[in-house]
Amino acid sequence: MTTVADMITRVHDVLQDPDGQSWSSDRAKTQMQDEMTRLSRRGLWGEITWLQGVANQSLYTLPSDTVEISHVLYNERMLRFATEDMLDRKSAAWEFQERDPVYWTSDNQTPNVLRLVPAPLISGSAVPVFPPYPMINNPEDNLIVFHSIDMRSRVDDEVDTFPIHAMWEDVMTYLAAYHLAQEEGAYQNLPVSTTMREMGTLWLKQLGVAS
Amino acid sequence: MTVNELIQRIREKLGTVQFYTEAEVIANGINPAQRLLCLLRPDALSQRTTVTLSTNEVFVDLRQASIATWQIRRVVLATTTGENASRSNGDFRDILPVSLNWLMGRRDWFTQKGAVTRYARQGRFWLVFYKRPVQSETITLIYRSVPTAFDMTDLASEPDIQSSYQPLLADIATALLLMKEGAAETEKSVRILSEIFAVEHFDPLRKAIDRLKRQAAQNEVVEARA
Repeated sequence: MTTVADMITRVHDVLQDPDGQSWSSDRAKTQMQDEMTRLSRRGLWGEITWLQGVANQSLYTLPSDTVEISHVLYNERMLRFATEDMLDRKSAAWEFQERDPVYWTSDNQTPNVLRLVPAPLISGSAVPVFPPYPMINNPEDNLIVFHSIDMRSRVDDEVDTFPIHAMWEDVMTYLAAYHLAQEEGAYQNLPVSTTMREMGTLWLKQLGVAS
Repeated sequence: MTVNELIQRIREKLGTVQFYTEAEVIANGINPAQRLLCLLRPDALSQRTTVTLSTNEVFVDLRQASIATWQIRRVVLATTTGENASRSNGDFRDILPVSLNWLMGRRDWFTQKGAVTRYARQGRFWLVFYKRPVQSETITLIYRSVPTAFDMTDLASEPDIQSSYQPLLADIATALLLMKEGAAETEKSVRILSEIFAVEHFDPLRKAIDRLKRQAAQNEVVEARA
C-alpha cells in the first residue's frame, strides 16, 4: 500500500526536486492535504454515522471532519430537511416543540451539527444489537446520518497509508504538483504546472467528478 | 511481460534520457500508466467479487468488500463469479441502481423488508441496499477495477490487465515520465498518448501547451524590443 511519504516522493520526482530543496516534504504534504480537502468539499467521501437520540435534545454533533449532511433518519424513518426560514413560516416557537421529530435542519449551525425539529421525547438505546444488522447500534429512536467527510486528517502523517484506491493517488499527485509548480518564485515551472493540471483534470473527469 | 521487461522497454524508449531511477519509472511511469489505461479503456480490467448480505443488512462498505472498485458496472443477486452461476435462495436477477435521493424519497425505506431490488451509492465508499433482506443473500459485484500497483520488491510480477494491452504500458509510461521535462517533451507525450487513446482526451493538454508556447514567444519578442 502506498504511504503519504511515497506520494511526496512522486510529487518531488514530477517537480524534478528529488531532494526536496525547492519544496520541502512538509510543503508537499501540506499541498496534498489541501488537495484532499479540495476533493472532500465536493462531497465525494460519504459516511453513514449512528447517533444516539436523547430525550429533549435537539442538537446533535457529528465528527468535526464532517463536510456536509445530506440525509437524516430518525427511528428508521426519513426526516425532511427544512431551513429555519421554512420552520419560522410554519410555526412560531418551533424550537420549543417536543414530540417525534419530523424535520432536520443544519441551517445556521456549524457544518457538523444538526437540529431535530421537534426535539425527541424519548432516548434511544445505546446497547449494541446482535446480530449487528442493519447496524451494530440500534436504529430505533436513534439517528442515522448520511454525510460527507474531509479526509485531510487521514493524510497528515508521512507513515499514513493512503486511504483510498490508487486512482486518487494520481489525482492528488498531479494536483499537488500543479499547485506547487505554479507558485510565483524562482522555482515556478509553468509547463509542468499546466501539464499536471490537465492530467489531474483528465483523471477526475474519468472518475466522474466534474471539474 | 514482467515489470523488469517493462522497465527495459521504457529505458529504450527514453533513449539518452537515463536519469530516471527504477523506483521513479515504476511510481510515476508504470503504475499511473496502468491506471490511465484502465480509466480510458475501462474494459481492460473488470473483476467480480461476491458479498454476503446478512439478514437485515443494508449497508456495504466498499473499502472492505472490494477496495479496488472504481466503477460499479452491475450488481447481481446471485453468484456469477465462475463458470456456472448459482442462484441466491432461488433468485437470480440484477439489482438496479438508483440515486440516494430516490431512496430517501421513500420515507420508510429503511424499515421495508423483502426482496433486495435496488441499491444506491453513498459517496464513493458505501452501497445502500433496498429492501432489507429477510434471509442471508449472496450478491455479486461486477466492477471496473484498479490494477495492482507494483513496487521495487516485485519486479518479476506481471500486470493484471490482459496481455494484449501490456505492450502499450511501456509507451504510456514513457509519455507520462517525459511530461515533467517541459513543453517540447509534453508535446511528444501528447502525440504518443493520442496514438493510443482517443485524441480528444488530450486535446485540452495540447491546447494548453500551445498557449504557453505562444505566450513564451510573445514574451521573447517583448524582451527583444525592450
